[in-house]
Amino acid sequence: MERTFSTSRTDSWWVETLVSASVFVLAIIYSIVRALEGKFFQWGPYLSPLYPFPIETAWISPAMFTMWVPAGFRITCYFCRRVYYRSVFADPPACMVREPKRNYKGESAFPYILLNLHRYFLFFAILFVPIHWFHAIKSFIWEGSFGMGLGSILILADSVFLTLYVLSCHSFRHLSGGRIDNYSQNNARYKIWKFVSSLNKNHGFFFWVSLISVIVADLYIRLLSSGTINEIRIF
Amino acid sequence: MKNGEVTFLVFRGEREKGIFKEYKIPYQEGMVVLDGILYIQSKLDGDMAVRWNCKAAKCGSCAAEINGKPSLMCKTKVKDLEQPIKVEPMRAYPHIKDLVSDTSWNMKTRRNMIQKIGFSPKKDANWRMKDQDIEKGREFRACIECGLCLDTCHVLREHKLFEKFIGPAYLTFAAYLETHPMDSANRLKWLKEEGGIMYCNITKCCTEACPEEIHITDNAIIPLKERVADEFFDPIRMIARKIFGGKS
Ligand code: SF4
Ligand code: SF4
Ligand code: FES
Repeated sequence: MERTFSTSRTDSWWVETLVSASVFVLAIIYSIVRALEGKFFQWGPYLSPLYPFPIETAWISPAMFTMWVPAGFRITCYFCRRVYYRSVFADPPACMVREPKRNYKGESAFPYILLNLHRYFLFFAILFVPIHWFHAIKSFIWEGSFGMGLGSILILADSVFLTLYVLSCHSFRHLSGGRIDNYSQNNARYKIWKFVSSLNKNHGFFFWVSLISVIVADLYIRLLSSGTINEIRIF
Repeated sequence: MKNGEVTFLVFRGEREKGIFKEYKIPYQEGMVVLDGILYIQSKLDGDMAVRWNCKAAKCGSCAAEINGKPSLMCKTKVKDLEQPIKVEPMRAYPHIKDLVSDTSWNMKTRRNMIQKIGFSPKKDANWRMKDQDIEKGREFRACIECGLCLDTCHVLREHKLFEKFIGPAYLTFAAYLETHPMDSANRLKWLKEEGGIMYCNITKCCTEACPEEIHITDNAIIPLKERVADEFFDPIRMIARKIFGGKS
């Protein structure tokens, strides 16, 4: 019972911890590298979802202007908190597994208490959703007519997953109607809350797929834009 | 099951000190862990301490750690487990003897809550409630107070913050009170300052453990945290409240 990571569990508890730590850390490194790189965000009708505003500056990577929104939204997201507390901070590494000794304060003290600002990031994230859809639609317009490439599908998929991720947010669930107790007198709010709650059940899943889809779409556009690969045009 | 036999490793001892003792017992179709333990108690080791009551997953008495997972002994099928089956008392609590832990903290916590932040009906409460109104509460009411979520919660188990944190089961109870449409009390300050809700880092082990399948973290704790944030961690809302008054 004494050592860090000791447990009576007989299953491979570390698999989930390790896999989520790897995906999470890789996603962060990739985004930082891309933000610093500051180019190859555009190709044909495609604009990378990592870079939804085509602002031109010479002195700072344009991605820096907007990246704080998805980054802040994710870092403060309740599900994401679970991911990094468990797999990055081993706090706990997995249920019923001993953790390193520490002076535990949970989210009751600085800096974690700031995570309560999640609702503000949610506000900006909601503003971003229509912008992503705008670029998703644009990715189907090739020199004025309707067309579709692999990139269009990747960008569309990313918009769908991002929308589901944002709509299933716990803070959104609270705002949509979770704050209310007497639903029989607020039927409309009750219905919205039920709908958001049904999405909220899969919030963790939407977190992962939207994280992966944004990277896949960006990577694809980066490879096109740098001339490494050729577009797979469907029609 | 080798030759119709099951191997159990049961923690035997007092006040945290003890050893795992091995028992080989005959397997029976449909056997649950509690059957094995009761067999050992009646046939092999009469002085083994174990707490149980309903054998129907409804009283919560037979909570233990089985192969390192918080489980009800009467609900855990032997055929689903890896052998040898390791059975230990709930380790987060002070140990008494063999499989029995001292869970009196649970009663103390609930009693304290009832005194300090108990149900307080609205003056004009209309007790004819609609289905929608009891929806949230119904889930929270399913709690059988087995203590498994408290046993697995690292705030209690690892960090021993029993004095500062009421734990998932009682946050669920608080959510029941707080979301009750006929209730008028505001417990948010108490939850933040006495109940220690901010100690929870929403890592969801409680949810994984709950035999009643209550979504403790998603449906009780996070909504409460959001309400606490409304009141204490949302500067815009706080200013709006100052200007416009009331419960904005
Ligand atoms: S989610 Fe919170 S209450 Fe539940 S086990 Fe984790 S820290 Fe404890
Ligand atoms: S919430 Fe679930 S695990 Fe916790 S005491 Fe109640 S029934 Fe047991
Ligand atoms: S809780 Fe995950 S995005 Fe809000």
